[in-house]
Amino acid sequence: MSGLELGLACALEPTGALFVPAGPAGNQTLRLHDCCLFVFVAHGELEAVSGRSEKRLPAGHAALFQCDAGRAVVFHHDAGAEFYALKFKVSPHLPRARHLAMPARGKVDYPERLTDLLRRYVMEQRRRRPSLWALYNLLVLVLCEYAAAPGGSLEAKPACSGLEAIASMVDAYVAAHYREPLCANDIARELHYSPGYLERAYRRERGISVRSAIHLRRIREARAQLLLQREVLVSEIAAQCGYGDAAYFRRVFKRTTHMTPLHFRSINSGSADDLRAREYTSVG
Amino acid sequence: MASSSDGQFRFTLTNGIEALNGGLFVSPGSGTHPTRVIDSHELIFVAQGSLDLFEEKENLHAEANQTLVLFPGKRHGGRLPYAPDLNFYWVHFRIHEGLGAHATLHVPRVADVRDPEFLTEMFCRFISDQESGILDPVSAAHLVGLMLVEAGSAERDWTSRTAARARAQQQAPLAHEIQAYIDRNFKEPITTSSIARDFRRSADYLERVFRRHRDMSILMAVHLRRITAARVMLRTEGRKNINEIAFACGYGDPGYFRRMFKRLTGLSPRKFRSLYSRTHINAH
Repeated sequence: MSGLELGLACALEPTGALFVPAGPAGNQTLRLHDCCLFVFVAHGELEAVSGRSEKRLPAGHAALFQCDAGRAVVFHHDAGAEFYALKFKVSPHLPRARHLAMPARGKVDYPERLTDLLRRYVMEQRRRRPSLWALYNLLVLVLCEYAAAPGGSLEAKPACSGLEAIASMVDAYVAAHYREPLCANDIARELHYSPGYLERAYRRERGISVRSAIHLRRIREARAQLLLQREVLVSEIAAQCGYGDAAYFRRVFKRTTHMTPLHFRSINSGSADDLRAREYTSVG
Repeated sequence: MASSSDGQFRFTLTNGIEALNGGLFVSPGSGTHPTRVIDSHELIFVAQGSLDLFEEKENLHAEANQTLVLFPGKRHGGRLPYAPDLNFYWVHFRIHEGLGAHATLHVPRVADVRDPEFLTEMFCRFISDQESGILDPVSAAHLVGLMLVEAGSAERDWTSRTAARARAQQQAPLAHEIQAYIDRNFKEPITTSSIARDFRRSADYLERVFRRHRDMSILMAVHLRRITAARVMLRTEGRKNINEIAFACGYGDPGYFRRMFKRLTGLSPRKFRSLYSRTHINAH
């Protein structure tokens, strides 16, 4: 056994990037051959002109352009403006893939998260032999970060995928009710779907059963509570997290975390100061 | 396909990976990895110490800055008790076949990581987003994609530690010596001319040799080494202020450090810290 062979499937093909650091005002022209362009302004202001459309982008804003063959995008940037532009081609439809919807322009919620990814993209591109797969994965992460901003959505619009809307409804229901006795049939009844259809829809979108989703949510909460309420009995924490039967809770916890609740608590022992940090600790 | 008829862009995104969950394991100082069979792949990145596992009949050993891949459906477990200083990141994922692969990525069983700090930061991002509930499946899948690139690409890069390093050493012993000198002395106030003095060669000659093999100036390599050290300290040493970190990384002038950090990472040291210090663990 010598390792893992991965077939790489890229839904987008990165075809180049431009990074303009803060400097004097100027113009940049990018020629596009039937591809898309993602632009993010880190500092200052930028005016992007593509054909008849003009976009004025202040710092923290991003925009997408789709261009036919031979079209150019011209950037007029002010002094001190710093921006990134990523070019990519869209590959033909891939099966079983998730959709990501995003606006043509928008403000980014966490510009530093996006800047961090874009900088890595530029660094990879500058390597002597950049890895196409690294670039592709970074590009998608950039788009996800942008889609998470208002106006975009990772849950593609119901018109695009009704199943995704159903799965999100299930997630929301589980998040609100996991402390109570809850099973997949209850959720189906509440959401007015047949249990079988709901199950198939959820599995298609999330890859796990509704039951597993409830367990995962509960166990995640139990892990946090085991560390936050150190003096509380495991059976009480089980009850808080929606498990009436403590033995059943132990079995599910062990299956998910690969250790017993008490073992999990004991290896995560320490002062109260560490607790916050430990919430991010988990065990393989 | 992308469509922008209603002002929205829609992309279909996948890399054939389904990310499950991830975490950071901190050695409890005793105990052994449980023997178990899991139904997914697992990527382990040893950040500190060393890890000894078996899978079926194969013995596996990974040291700090190495990754390890485990396979689904195979029995694995600890071969030796956990080393007291062991820290490792882990992530479970599934690989979906039938996506129409564009290329293959080979991830060795045990691999040297070309940029351990980069991989650590990707894991931090994964874990912290997972814990705060904002990790969407698309981002998760592509973060794992990036991690696998890091685990799979070490051999092709000049900076890899074993095979590639030996090869580089043969091809460019002097460039390699300069890098090793920088790695040892970056905390001191070194410059290209001080390095040239210590090597008893002319600065121009060293510069030419180095640039031919690394595509960057000696000064830039010094900065990169210092900024990498600063990234580690910003992530892990929450008590140090930015000025102290600047001094500890060889910068006498904190203002200059801030400028260089911003130029090389795109973020101010403070923003970088707020982005990555959440998974910080200060126990054991």
